[in-house]
Amino acid sequence: MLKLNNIDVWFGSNHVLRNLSCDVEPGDFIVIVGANGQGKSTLFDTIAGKVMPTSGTITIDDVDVTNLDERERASMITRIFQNTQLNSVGTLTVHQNLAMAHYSRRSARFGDGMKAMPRERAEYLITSIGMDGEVLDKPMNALSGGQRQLIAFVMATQMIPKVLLLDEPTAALDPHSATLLLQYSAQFIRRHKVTTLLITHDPHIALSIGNKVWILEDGKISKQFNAEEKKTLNPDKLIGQIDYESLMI
Amino acid sequence: MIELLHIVQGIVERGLIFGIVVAAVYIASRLINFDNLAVEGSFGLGGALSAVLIAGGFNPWLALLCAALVGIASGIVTACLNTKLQLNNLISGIVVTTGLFSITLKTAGSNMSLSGKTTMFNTMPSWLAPYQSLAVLIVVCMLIFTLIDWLLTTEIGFLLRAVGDTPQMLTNVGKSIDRYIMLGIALSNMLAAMSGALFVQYTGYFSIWASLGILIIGLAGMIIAETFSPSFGISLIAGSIAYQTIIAMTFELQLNQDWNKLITAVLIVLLIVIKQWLYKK
Repeated sequence: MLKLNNIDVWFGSNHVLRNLSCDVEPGDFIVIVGANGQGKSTLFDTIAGKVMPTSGTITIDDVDVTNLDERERASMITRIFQNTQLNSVGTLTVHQNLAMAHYSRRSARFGDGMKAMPRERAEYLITSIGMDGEVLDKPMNALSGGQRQLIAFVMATQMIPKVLLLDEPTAALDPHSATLLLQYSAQFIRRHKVTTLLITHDPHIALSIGNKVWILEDGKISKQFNAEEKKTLNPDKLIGQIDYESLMI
Repeated sequence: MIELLHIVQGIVERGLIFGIVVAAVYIASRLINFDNLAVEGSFGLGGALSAVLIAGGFNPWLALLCAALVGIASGIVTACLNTKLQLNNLISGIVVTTGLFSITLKTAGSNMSLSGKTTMFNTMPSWLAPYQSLAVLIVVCMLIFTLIDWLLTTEIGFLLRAVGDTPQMLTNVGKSIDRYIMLGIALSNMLAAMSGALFVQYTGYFSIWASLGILIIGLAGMIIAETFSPSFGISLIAGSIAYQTIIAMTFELQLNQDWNKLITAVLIVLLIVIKQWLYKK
């Protein structure tokens, strides 16, 4: 479905992705873990088209997308960023943001900007993530990071993508918001069988969601675990853990 | 009393003309987050073209439309310098304003009188004569502001508002950031050029030096307007009128007009500091 063939990415003299190849099956939900600086975000940037590979090819459903830019790939790939501010427009209201999510995959018009998202539909979507309908009229800037990220996920799922990239979506969230977001995303992914890649630093999330785990080290996928193998992994040893004892005063 | 009314009318009329420049500055700076210094050049070119066309017997309303078109063209050039050639937005604006100075000079010379020519402000019935400038300006401003207000509620308007806040959001929905920057800058320069055309027709005189300091008038008006409301709308006209009132007061106080620009500069700094202070409170 999504194939990366011998991808190399250089930033100046820094070799970030090293001859990386992988094959993602349709409906796979792959969790990618790895320490900082191993190339996880660059991998997502490369798949999304933000970064063009120095060499190698990328195909989605056997269509070569290597030379398509990020905007052109947006019709196939949806990405949720760790930075909540990149996923929605802060100065627009929640309702306006939800409407804008529908402009994807078609030309924007001079028609009423809100027509794409009737109020009843917007209220239904917002209540489905446990929020009050009143939030629709608030500007995104007035919401917490957790609320913004949940709404961003609702926006991203208005169009069913071929590939969903979740770039540490829970990094800035409290445990309750993180759980809500992951529950909502897991439901959506299961229902629509969306091929998904998730980056996380949380080993417990890595082992409790998805059907495969990849470990990215030194710009390459160093280890791959399937659903069965995943069950045998120890979260504390997956990517290391905080040495709490050394923090004691 | 009548003299005072005339002064007030003059202030409101100038406020309306420069309110369009304030809208131009607002669209660039606040909506698409692009400090558009080409506003000054477009104002001059719009005025020059309008003067030449009217002097040649052209319909003054069509002259306004032509000014709008050259404003759009200068906006597209500014946006291309920024998005295609990767020039910094300030440099793009400076380069265009500098270039437009020569084009403006070649178009209308350094000055041109429209005495005896038909302008938008002398075509009304005689009974309306004392208020015809005010009436025309109110109609033009209402049309412009209503149209832009409507545009901002459309799908294209939402994307225009998004490009200044979260450009990544446009990419997320598969839209071109560059195209929407271009649209915003074209709109901004179109308004500046229309304001220039109105100013020349209103004063009946074109001077190459009239556009000098227009950007700061727009900026001052916008900063005052934002104390009334942060949104696009009639507050921009109110800000412009308030600024013109301050400038008129310096006339009334018989201050040496050489100090006008310094007063404007100090006023802008004061307003920004007061706004920041109020925000912190």
